[in-house]
Amino acid sequence: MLKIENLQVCYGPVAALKGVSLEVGDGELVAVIGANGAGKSTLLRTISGLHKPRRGKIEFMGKSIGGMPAHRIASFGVVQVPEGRGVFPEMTTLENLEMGAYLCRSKNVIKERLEKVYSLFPRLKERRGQLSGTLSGGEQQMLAVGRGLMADPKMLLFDEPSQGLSPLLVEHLADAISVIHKEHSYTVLLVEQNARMALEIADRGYVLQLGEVVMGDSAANLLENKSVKEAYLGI
Amino acid sequence: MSWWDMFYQQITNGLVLGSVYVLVAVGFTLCLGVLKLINIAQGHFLMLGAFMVYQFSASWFTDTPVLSNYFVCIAFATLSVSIVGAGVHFTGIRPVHGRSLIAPILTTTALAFLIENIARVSWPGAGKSMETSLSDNYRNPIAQIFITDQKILTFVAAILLLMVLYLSMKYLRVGKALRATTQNESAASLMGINPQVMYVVAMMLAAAFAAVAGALLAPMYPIETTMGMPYLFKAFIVVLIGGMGNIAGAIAGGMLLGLMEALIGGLWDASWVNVAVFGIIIIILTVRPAGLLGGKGI
Repeated sequence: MLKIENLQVCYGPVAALKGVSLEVGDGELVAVIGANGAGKSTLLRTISGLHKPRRGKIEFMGKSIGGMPAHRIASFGVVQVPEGRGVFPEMTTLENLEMGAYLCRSKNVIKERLEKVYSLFPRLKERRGQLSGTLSGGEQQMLAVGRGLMADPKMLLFDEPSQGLSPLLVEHLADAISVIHKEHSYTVLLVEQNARMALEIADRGYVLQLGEVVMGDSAANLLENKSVKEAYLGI
Repeated sequence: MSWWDMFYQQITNGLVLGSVYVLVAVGFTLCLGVLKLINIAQGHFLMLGAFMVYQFSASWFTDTPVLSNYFVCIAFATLSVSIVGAGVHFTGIRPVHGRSLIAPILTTTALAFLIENIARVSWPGAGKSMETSLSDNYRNPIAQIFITDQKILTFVAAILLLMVLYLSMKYLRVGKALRATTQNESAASLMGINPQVMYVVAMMLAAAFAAVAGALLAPMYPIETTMGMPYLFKAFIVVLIGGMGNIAGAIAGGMLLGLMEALIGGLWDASWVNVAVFGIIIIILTVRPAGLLGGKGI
């Protein structure tokens, strides 16, 4: 579904991604793990069109999307749940969710999607009239995920969803992503510093180190891998 | 005329002046919020609005029965100035936007001078003036107080426009998209909102609001090509008092500035207006550095 070949991205003279290649198949949940500064967020931001690639190819469903503006890539159904939650703080929860379905013109379809999101995150329904800037960190994260689902995406990109959440909330979130992936059969690319959480719910994983993919395997194999254990799982 | 009559009279003057400031400042703050830039040409949109309404009603449409109506001319003036606003965006802002903070300030300054000089060539000679059926119809609701219908219209029109703006921002798709872009542009683009389109909409709205203010002023004050810049400074002050990039703040700040100027000028001494106003602003900003309603979004 998503195919990336030899992707290079630079911030001025500094190379953030030095030729990354990876693939996400239809219906797969793929995790990209790595330390701070490995280029994980840059990878997602480039797929979403917030950064321009310097070299390399990004193909989504056979269409080359590398270098397109973000709003066009979103219109193809590639939807990112941004890092640091990125909700619209002066809008209510409901308004934020509605913004997720910005490209959908049918009120009835929006209503259906809203019900689906509310059933997944009942808390969002309780908080629907509240300004999202006043929600707790966990609620904001749920909102960001729900807002992504409102677009009815073909592919969901998660950028560090566990960031800043308590261990209990991380578990809830992992469950939610797992449910979204399995029951609603979304294709997911999950970028995470919390390697254990990511690999436990993923089908496959890649390890990103200083802008390069150093390993790519099934999630189960990566969880057992000695160097992954040492470097990212803290065992 | 007693002190109290004078006081009430200046309150009405202040509200009218404040309405004009609010209209200019709302556009200014919209640019600040959506495009994250300072538009130096904002006051010039007001000047153009005043000249265009004069041009439509006193020249182009003057012999056409329906079109020569003052309100129809306001609509045409507003429309034409908002097109100028889009022009300013495409020529002065878009090519440099996002690269530096200073560049759009310089380019819009250049365009402001260009607009002013084109106006000077197009309407040569001394300032113009225009009259409508509203401008010399006085009412005096209380004893010694006199208000023209034009002043009432200015106040009411400002209130109505702000209500329309508020409701559009809250309920219309494009309004919500503008707010989303203001609050988090990259997240908004991830939702499929094209920021470039929002920039154009914001610039056209900003120009339109200033143009309406100019068109409302036209029958009350002499129309001069130099009248733009002072209103830019007022917009700056209003936004400083009210809080950056925040529409409610612009409304509060604009009304406050209008009232302060009218009361100080009318009851005390006109030459002390700026000293007193800036003194009060310094006090406000010392107590609330982000402005009266600062720190909130659009």
